[in-house]
Amino acid sequence: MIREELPHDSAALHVSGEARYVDDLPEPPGTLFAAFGTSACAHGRIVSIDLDPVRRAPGVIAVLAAADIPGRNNIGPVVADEPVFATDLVQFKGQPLFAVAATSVELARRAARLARVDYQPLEPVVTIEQALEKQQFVLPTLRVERGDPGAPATHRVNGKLRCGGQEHFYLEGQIALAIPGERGEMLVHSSTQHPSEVQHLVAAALGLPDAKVTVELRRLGGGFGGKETQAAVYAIGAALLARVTGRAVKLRADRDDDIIGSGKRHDFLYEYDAGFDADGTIRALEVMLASRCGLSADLSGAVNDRAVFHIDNAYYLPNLRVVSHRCKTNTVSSTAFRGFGGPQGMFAVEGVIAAIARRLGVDALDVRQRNLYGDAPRNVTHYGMTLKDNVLPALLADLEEKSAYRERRKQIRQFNAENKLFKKGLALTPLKFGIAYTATPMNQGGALVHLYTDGSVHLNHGGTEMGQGLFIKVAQMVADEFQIGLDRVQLSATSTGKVPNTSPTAASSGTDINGEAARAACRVLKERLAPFREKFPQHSFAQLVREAYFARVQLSATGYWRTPEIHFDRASFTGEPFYYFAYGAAVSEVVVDTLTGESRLLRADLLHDVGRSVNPAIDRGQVEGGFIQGMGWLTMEEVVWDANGALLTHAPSTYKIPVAGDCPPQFNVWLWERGENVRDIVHRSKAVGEPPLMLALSVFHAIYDAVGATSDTREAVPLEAPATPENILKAICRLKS
Amino acid sequence: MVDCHGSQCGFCTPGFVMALYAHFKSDGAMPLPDAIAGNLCRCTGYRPILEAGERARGLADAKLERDDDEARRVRLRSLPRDSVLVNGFFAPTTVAELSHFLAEHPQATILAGGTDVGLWLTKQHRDLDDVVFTGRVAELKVLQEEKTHFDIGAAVTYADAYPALSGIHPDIGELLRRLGAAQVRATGTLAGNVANGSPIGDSMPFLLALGASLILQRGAKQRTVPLEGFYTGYRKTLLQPGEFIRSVRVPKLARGARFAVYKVSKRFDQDISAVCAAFHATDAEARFAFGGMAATPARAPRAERAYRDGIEAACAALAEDFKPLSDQRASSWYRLAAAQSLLRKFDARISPRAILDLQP
Repeated sequence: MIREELPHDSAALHVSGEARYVDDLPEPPGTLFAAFGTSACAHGRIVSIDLDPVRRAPGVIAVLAAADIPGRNNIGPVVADEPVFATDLVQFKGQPLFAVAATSVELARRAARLARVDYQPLEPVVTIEQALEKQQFVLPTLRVERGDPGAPATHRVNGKLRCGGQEHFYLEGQIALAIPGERGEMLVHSSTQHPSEVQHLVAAALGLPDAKVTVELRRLGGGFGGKETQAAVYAIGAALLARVTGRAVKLRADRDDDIIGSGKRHDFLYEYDAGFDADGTIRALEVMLASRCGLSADLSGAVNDRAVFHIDNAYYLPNLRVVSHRCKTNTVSSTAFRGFGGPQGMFAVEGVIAAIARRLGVDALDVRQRNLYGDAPRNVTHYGMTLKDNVLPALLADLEEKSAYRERRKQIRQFNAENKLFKKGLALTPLKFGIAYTATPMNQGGALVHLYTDGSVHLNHGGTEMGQGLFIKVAQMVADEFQIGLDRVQLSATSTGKVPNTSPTAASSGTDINGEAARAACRVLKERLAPFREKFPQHSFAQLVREAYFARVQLSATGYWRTPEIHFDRASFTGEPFYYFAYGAAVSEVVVDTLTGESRLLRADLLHDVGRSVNPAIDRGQVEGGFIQGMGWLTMEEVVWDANGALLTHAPSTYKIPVAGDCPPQFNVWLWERGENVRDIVHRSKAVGEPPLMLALSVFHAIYDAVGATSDTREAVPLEAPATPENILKAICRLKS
Repeated sequence: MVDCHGSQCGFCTPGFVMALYAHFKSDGAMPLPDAIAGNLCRCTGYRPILEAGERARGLADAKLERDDDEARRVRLRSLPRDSVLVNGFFAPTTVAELSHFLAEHPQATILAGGTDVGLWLTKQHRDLDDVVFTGRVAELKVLQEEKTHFDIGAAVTYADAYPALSGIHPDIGELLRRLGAAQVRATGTLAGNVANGSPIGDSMPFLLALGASLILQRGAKQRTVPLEGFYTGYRKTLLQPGEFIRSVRVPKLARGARFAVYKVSKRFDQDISAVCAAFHATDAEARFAFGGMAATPARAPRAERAYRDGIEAACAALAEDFKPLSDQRASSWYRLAAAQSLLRKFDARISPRAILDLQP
């Protein structure tokens, strides 16, 4: 059962189309359909707003704005700085102003466009540079120092880097169905990674105690971080309208409105200055990080902190200064996205490493290997945590050999010497990713397990199934605990009514905290069954359960897990914020057309440490899928705002995620055979949701390498992410001039 | 798909299953990535879906339950095939009916494949008064081969025009492969792309480079106009009220002519071009046509003339021909630089497939 390659719990239902998402649930009679009316202005004061044309539109039953909210007009999860509906100030183009419920989706969407709103425009702050100039931040700037950042070194490089944002593009868009009950109760079916937070925010908006609101969902059609905080506003909109109409209300965002109205990955601007030795060893590094956070703090504090935590990626940085600016802009609030700032932190140091390699005229892999964490004292991170599980030196050596890196390097050098139009590039990048929520209190999980008298098991826990295979992995662990078949374990929808106060399914922690919580519940029940097992050694599991029932033993148990040992002091930015680390490495080979800047990934070799996998097929899926998603972020996916703050890339016609043809023709994926979690958690497997996304840094650096091959200079390659044809051609031209 | 772990969140899965099913129900000749190019998956990275596709190849005789549903077939066959007029939607079966309707309703929207008109409704919530559908007009579905050219009826889909167009030059086939996936090629039409008149429509550069013309009809009267000159401004054409495109006349290439079509976009498959270019050179003349460089698809007369003096002169002249826009797809700088680069690739005889055919 454990370590078996079992299919996803709903695989057959996915294929037949019978798997139910929120929009597939039967609608209660009289269900209404909702849409938001939104701001046409990125920054301005509302002079007047006339909703009468909306109210008079065909099919409209109710229209609500800020004044109609009985409770709190807020969706800010950490800082209460973002309204459900704007009142006098609008802060991004697409910000909700009101919600309308009508008898059909089409009528609601048509009506929502009829409001007459006059704005007194204010100057929009759209870019990171503009926000830096105005010193306009959503949170105070963070400064972290270690050792002497000005330590002398024989060589120096400095420069600027930039990486783009990313739209989640979950295939199922944001959606909520709110069903009013008696005495103000509200049941909300919400496609969210964070049912508890949706519950709390809906209750706060309705002015009700949390206990009156239940949030439930069986599965999401993709999340990737985009439905952690961002699902709440849709649930609140539906619930407010359900409250006033007394009818069920469904709010499903149109794809364009979804992309415009929900947050994305933070894009970053960096400035760095690095001192290093002639052999490439980094002596000192100063980095300024600045990210576009949008109008509110949302999760930007934790996202940018994680960028700071991962500014080292896999490298020992003895002397370091990091300045992290969280820029406030008139754009939608940037939010969680797989990796949660980690990818952006690593992007910076990988850019520094590449610049050092260029300066020294050596293979970047040599510089990477030279700077890897190693034995004491080179095993302590800049936040004072000693690495106890670093496998990278061995893992990198393995991959170097498996991928025939050195041999291919020679072949590529040869290819590039013989070809002027096409240049190939190769890069191997390592990955170290800290596992745990950096907000320590969130590292807890809960589960609820019932045994029925026929021996079947009802399993519930606080995690949400968004495609990552959490449910099957937890079910495997439960079946293993009871030593019963998987078909005896009934999975059930996540519900705040069953397991309360849950953490979001995020930070790659789903299996760790929910799996351990479910095992804890199983162990309680096993203990209760133990006397019967002793008495009836030949009984089947079902017979045992029946015996226990007749003996009046409770056959339901909750389970709970809290991650031990972790601690972190944010004031000094030191501690052990992570329980363990996930490791991996990847080699990418690309080709670049030096005339047009087009590029293609030709081959990828991934080696990832998932510990001792509970389900290698599921884990492999996370590794491959994360890698391709990361490749999209760093190559073709470009989020573009115009100078007035309008998002220009808000549909599949303008925002391009990878398709099947972008999958490399040669794609080798290995789970590291020697992998084992040093922590005794979930059968010594490791978290796998986010880390593989960062393996795609190898794609970006292979393109960097190919562009570098167009010039004999030792200048850093001025390539910005995403490496679109335009950005690649720009880098080639700049390198030439 | 289950055995290959081809689903994660599962939301896209039925679409992939049906795309693979359709692929194997047809000849299954297309490379698998092309067969599923019209479907997005955000979870898997596609490798397991491609593997499932490979394994499905061996199950060619697999059937859906509905395949054997005779009653269903009878119902489908009994659907009306004659002209239909409901609520302002008219589906004529003859050109005479079509032209008569358009004469009476000159403001009517002509619907062919609906790949753009559909968005007017679902995204822009436009009210279309009258809609007339060309897809049932038999005379418009004719593709006629003549000695020097093809006449491609206005209702001929990309898929049906593919053999003829890719026969003129394989680069056109490659362009059609990239401009829309199987689903789009099965409904979208060449004439629809021309009539819609988008400055970034991908058909027009190669049609302009070949010297295509349009057969227009109004009432019973036909006239032939060159495609060049058809566009009078941004999304404006010569079409008179009540007039429609009856067919597109696409010349074949003369012997010895050099020809190439290139498309540059952020993603290779199903992306709207930043720049699309077609080049056609004979001893007598050069015809260079571009999309994405101006308010309409357009030729580059200065570059064409300068090409006699060599590639450098032609590239320099391109900067005189066009002052492209900056938008989310590309900047003005990139569009011009890429256009010049594509001209250089044509001059150096580099196939648009070169980068796709490179192996690791």
